[in-house]
Amino acid sequence: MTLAIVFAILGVLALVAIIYLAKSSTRHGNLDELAGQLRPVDVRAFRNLIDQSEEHFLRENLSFADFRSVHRERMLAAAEYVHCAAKNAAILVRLAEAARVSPEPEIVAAGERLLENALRLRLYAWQMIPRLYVAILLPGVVRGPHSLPENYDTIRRQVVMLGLRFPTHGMSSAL
Amino acid sequence: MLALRYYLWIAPNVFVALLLAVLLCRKNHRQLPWFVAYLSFQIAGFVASVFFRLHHPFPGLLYRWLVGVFGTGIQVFFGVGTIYELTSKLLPVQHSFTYALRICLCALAGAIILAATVSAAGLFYVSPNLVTNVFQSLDFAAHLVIAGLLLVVFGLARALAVPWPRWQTGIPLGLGIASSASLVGAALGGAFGYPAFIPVDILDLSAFHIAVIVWMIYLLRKPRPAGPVQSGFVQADLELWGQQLQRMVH
Repeated sequence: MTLAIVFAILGVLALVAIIYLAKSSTRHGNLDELAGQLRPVDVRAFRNLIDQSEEHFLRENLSFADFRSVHRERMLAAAEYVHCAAKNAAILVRLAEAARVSPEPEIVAAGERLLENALRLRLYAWQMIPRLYVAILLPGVVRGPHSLPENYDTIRRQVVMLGLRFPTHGMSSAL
Repeated sequence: MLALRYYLWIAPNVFVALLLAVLLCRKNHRQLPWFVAYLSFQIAGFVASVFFRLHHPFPGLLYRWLVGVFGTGIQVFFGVGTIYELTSKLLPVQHSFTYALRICLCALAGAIILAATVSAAGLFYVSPNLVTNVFQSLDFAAHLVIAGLLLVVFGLARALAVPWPRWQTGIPLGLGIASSASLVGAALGGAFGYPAFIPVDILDLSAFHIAVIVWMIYLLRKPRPAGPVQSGFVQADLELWGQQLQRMVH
């Protein structure tokens, strides 16, 4: 009896969750508004933050307590960069979706490539954020995938190239 | 009350037939073969149950097995197929990471099916009649599987920030409404037994009616022209591209 009532309550919660998620998945938004939400990511600074040799240098030249403190700040900053990159990728998915319905096949192909890389970047971000938090506690652990900065650079180039044939609403400069 | 139950039994199926006819006329069965099969089976099940009722006003064991147990089983099969179809559209990119995601989805589906089987087997002894118990367990497990899979798929879409086409969102939404309400109904049926069967039946039929209306609202409205409203380029854009290209070169 109790278990059945628990399942009934779970059913009600599932109904509410499905309606909420369905409503939010159709909220496409205006590309101009979305372009305003992009946050620039300094890829060189990010590369520096996750660079193993940089970490090695700091470890050699700082006291243990100072190193822990600096390392913690660096990893938190790197996690913030990854958050921003993932959020930007979510916005670029919308741009890619808009390009994919263009009548011109070249724009459609560019949109497909951008969509592929933006989705890949979000998946990399999922993998990377927990690793960065673990790295705060355990300096020196593998923080891969290190391809995230390259992936972000590729996306930026793709948006610039797409912008030559398709209105990107100033997104290329905001990345 | 009887009139309401007859309305809820007949009206959604009439709407499903209309929806099916429109989808076939628009040739949407090429894009959504599983969903069209799901609707077709819904109509076939309704026709079969009308036929049985006309010939046997007091349905026997064969009717209960055929329409109740096998009907539910086949409907779940097409429901899961529809979810798979929508998921494959959600992840259009054919690469190793989508392959890995599909494996994760299959593993999650397996876990949900296992959980549904275990919970359904432990929950239901509502009647000394074996067929009723089997039907109740299957009904509960089926709706738990569909609602669970839909939550996973919607969660994935949100995490990846992939927007579904507006007209296709109605399909999982309708399926979700029907299966979550039926999950509540099946659980309450398990808790209160035989006296709750009529209210639970009304709850199930009402939820399916709402689901059909949701499908009609989403699938029958005219698709909006997609793509950006703005066309052409402005001076500011060209300057920004110039700066961006310079930054890439240096």
